[in-house]
Amino acid sequence: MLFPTVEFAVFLIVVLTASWLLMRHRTPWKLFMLAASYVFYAAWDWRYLGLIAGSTVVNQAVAVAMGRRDDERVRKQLLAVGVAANLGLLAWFKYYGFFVSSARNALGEFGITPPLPLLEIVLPVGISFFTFQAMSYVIDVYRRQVAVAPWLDTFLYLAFFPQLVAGPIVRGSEFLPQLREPRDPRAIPAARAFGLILGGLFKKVVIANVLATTLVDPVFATPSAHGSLETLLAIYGYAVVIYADFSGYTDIAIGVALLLGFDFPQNFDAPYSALSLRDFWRRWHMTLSRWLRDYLYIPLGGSSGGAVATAGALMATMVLGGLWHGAAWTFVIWGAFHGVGLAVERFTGQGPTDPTSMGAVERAVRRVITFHVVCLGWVLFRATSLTNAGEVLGQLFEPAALTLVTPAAVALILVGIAVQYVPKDVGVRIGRAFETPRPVLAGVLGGAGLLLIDALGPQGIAPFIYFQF
Amino acid sequence: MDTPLPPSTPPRPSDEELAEPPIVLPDEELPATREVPPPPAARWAAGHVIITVTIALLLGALLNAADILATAERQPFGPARNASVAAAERLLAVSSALRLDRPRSAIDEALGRGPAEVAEDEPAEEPVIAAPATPSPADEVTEEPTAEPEPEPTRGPYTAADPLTMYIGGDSMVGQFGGALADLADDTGVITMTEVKYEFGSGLSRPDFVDWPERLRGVSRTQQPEVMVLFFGGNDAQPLEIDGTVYEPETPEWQAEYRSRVSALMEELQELGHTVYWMGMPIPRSETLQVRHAILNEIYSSEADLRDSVHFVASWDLFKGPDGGFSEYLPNRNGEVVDMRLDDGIHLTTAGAYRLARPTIARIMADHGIEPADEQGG
Repeated sequence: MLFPTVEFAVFLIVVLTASWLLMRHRTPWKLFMLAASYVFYAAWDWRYLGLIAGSTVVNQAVAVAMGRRDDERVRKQLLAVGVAANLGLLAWFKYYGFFVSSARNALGEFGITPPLPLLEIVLPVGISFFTFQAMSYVIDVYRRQVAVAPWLDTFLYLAFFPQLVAGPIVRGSEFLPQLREPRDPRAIPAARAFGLILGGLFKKVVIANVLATTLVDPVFATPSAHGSLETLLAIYGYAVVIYADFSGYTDIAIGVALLLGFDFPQNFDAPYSALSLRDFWRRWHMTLSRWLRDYLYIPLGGSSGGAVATAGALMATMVLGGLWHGAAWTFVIWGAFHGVGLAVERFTGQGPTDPTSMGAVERAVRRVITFHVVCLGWVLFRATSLTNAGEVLGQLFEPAALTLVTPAAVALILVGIAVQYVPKDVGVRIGRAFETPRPVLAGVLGGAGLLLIDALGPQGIAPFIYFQF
Repeated sequence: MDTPLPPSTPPRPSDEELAEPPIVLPDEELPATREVPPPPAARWAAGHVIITVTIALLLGALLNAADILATAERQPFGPARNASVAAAERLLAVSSALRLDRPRSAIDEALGRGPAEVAEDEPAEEPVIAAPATPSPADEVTEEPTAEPEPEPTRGPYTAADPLTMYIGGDSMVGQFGGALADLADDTGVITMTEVKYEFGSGLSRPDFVDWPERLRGVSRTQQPEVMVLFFGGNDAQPLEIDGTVYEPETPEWQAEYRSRVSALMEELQELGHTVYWMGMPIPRSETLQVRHAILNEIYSSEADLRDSVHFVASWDLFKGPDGGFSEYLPNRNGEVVDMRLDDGIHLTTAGAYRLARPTIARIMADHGIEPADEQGG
């Protein structure tokens, strides 16, 4: 069930109403929300309900067992079991084919055929997100940073529908305490929630979908058919597409959670206004960056060792972060690209994040350079192969007539980049107009917003492409 | 054990880490100017929120009623579609009565778009060929792309200044394949693309969504490509409603109807002077779809055989594994085993697209007397 659909609109009204009606009755409310979340997940494929339920049982069993023991050695063994179970789940569903085909091809060079069968494994929706949430819970329980939650709370935490499919990656320490007491039905930050939902829909449906279908996808599909300016605009376009698509989805998730009374962490903070790569990673997919820092980078030694050890930890973190995005060498190389960039910044002192520490010209130059380095990385991320990435970059030096670039596409690119520089307090000021609840006015404005979003979005994206499954 | 797991107590990051973590700073370390807590007064009661959401979604539905109906009608025939369409029709009736459909019409008009297409059940076209018996996968045409006798080149020699013009169109199967074929065509130096066009969820089963015959008429008129490469079938193995009755692809009624559409389109494109390469569906993962896609392929193949200018390009066997069944992983040209199919078991990855595009372009070149670039010295 995708957010921008009529099905989800109906689902939201029913769940929102029932949730607030049941809120004072904690256990029935939790059971209802769990059932609603499973219905949401089952809309993709009901067979994977067993997967998420099984994952929850294993992680909660490990957490409960750790909570009952003081012996550090036993706790560590239990943690190893929990982490291995989660990584095993990811390895099987997401990486098995990639690892086996890579191993077969590498060993094939030496005439060796490893006895590893290539299996038909379908990737379950959202597995990367709920597995990382589960790992954070188990590790935090081990570190005694989070108390062991009741079973029902853990089931709801890992399945809570707003963030289930595409994040943000919400930690147990952020979500579970919010389950302890009923949410306050008189204190919903409605203006912020509505702004996030409508803005997210606009980013996803209009900006991302239009740019992807009219410019980015055709250029990356046939690089040689497009010249330098068109290719450059397609690269800028992809930077906007991936930002609008991903941040749009998580904005909607955060907004829906707010309407249900839950606070989720921010996931994007104007990433294309970054002054350095380090600044970029403070602003891009922030909940993943935090996760990688706390559960990977620092346990690997972080910056507590020497320069080489720090660079190694940085590279390992970013490469694995790249691999988290997808099982392909292009993602590995994309991660390594950022790892090298961060290491270079770190050891040359070129990674400032505070805009007040520099003049306007330096800020502007840094932002332009950082944006273009990030765009170069996006070419690796978007390309279907290194060859494809090379072809796209090669076309930057091949002049040719424009065939796909339209004023609308250019306008959307400019809008996508310009919004990074809109002061945050603009939203707050708009929100002040709704300090006093005005349901009718807000509802009418919301309806008008939905009209514009649906009308401006591309036609022809049929919802039933995979209906046969 | 030497797994780099954290100790039982929280790890102690260095002072430098706490001051300057390499990836992301905790919120409290963000510059003060970026901290924008929602104003405390802007908090509403749940009742107000529910009223607002209900008004917004209801009004949004009324304002977009025609589009919602068009979306409902694009669903596969069956009880779910019937219920959705009935509800959407009532919604549109209310919207029209309240004149709430006008803003959307005005916006569509301003954007140069037609009104959302509200389908009427397509009248069955005159069947020109008798319905076949239901084929089994074993009946699938397994000819290789180069198996057909080569027709005489219609004109040539083709040069960069006077290239062969080619159009690629169809459903989402064109997504990866179209790019790969266009790329290989570009490499020849003597084949120019007029357009690569695909529509998700489209096909010949549902002209109410995208009317491909009408669209291809327009392509013929405006682009005048000599060659048309068409790829349908990804969404076509769905029920059809014929004279008020819904038929599944395994039924003779469905096959007669679908065959009539394929036949009419092939005939028209041939009469318009195009050379058509009609791509066959590659073997899918689902056993149910294997039967259905084999039915599609049999119709495409047998209809193409009846026409000189229409060529069926089989792809079923090209994606079989060593055991003769569906295989997600197959060797590429370098002998490396790579992922050829997307997770849905229908569509092609980029590698899969090139696996199919290479013999396809080779056949087009052979049919038109175009020599491979290396033989041309290029």
